[in-house]
Amino acid sequence: MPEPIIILAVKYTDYMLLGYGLAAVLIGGLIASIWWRYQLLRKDETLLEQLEQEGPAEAHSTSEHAPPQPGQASPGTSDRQPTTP
Amino acid sequence: MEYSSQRTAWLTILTYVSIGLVIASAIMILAYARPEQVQGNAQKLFYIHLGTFFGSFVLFGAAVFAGIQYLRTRHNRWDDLGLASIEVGLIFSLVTIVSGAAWARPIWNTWWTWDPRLTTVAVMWLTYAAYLMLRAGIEDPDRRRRFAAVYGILAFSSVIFTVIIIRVRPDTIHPVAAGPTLSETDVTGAFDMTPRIVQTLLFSIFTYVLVSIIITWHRIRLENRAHQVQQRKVNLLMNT
Repeated sequence: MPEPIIILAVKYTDYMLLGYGLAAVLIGGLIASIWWRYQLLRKDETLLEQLEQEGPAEAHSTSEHAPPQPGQASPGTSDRQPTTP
Repeated sequence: MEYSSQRTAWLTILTYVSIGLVIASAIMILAYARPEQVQGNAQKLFYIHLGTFFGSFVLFGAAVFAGIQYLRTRHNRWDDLGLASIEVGLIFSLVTIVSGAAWARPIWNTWWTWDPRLTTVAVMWLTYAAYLMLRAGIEDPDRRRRFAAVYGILAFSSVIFTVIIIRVRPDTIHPVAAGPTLSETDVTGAFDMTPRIVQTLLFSIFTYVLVSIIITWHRIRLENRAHQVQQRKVNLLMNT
């Protein structure tokens, strides 16, 4: 049977909270960064779908306003250069 | 690359399982494992300290496997595994370092000291941080992947040094949780492992290893998706 939580009365609780707090920030930050990059990719995909639906001619004119560059990935994601067909 | 719905279902289930395990682990740490008499609640940092170290150890080991597989097959998915493992492993080892520093302040009376173990773990962390920076600096994709594979394999030597240093250097003050040590100095901060401490420790290690693997899995998926978007951009440009 677990004992009642008496941790706050024990010494060095502040250091324990500091350590676990920093751990939560770091791991939470990593998860948030993955989620944020995923959201950016979804935005890119939505834009690409629009451009693909507009067709080559219109896409060309649209791409002047929002040009997707071959070597330019969404921030913090793929560093792989695409191979030229 | 499209994923099967079965694989996605497994990832979703394991994600929820790891969230549940983290909550259970926190309850065990707070309510089940008794505070150590001398170290008080600072000792409870030991669970995440060791758990995240094992997590990063597994991930850096996975980067070695990925590097070998890439050099053998030249398949890009192994490069993705290596990159994701090192990125997540770097954060987990940073958690190991900061939780150790938070423990050291009340027990050693300092946040940091250049003890052999602490020095090797700092070298290990910087070695893997350099992996990401150097990798980003190489433009040619094939060269970058080849470099990353070789670097990922060689960098693991810093992990091995970190693991064995407290067993071969007699002048370290870092406690050894299990196994032999040659330490001749006072190991400040050592404590007796009661059954509850051992059970909580093993549970925490299992939890954080699983969490590290699941986050890496999500990171690999992100990388794959980024490649797809990149390829679509190229295709669109080619068609215009």
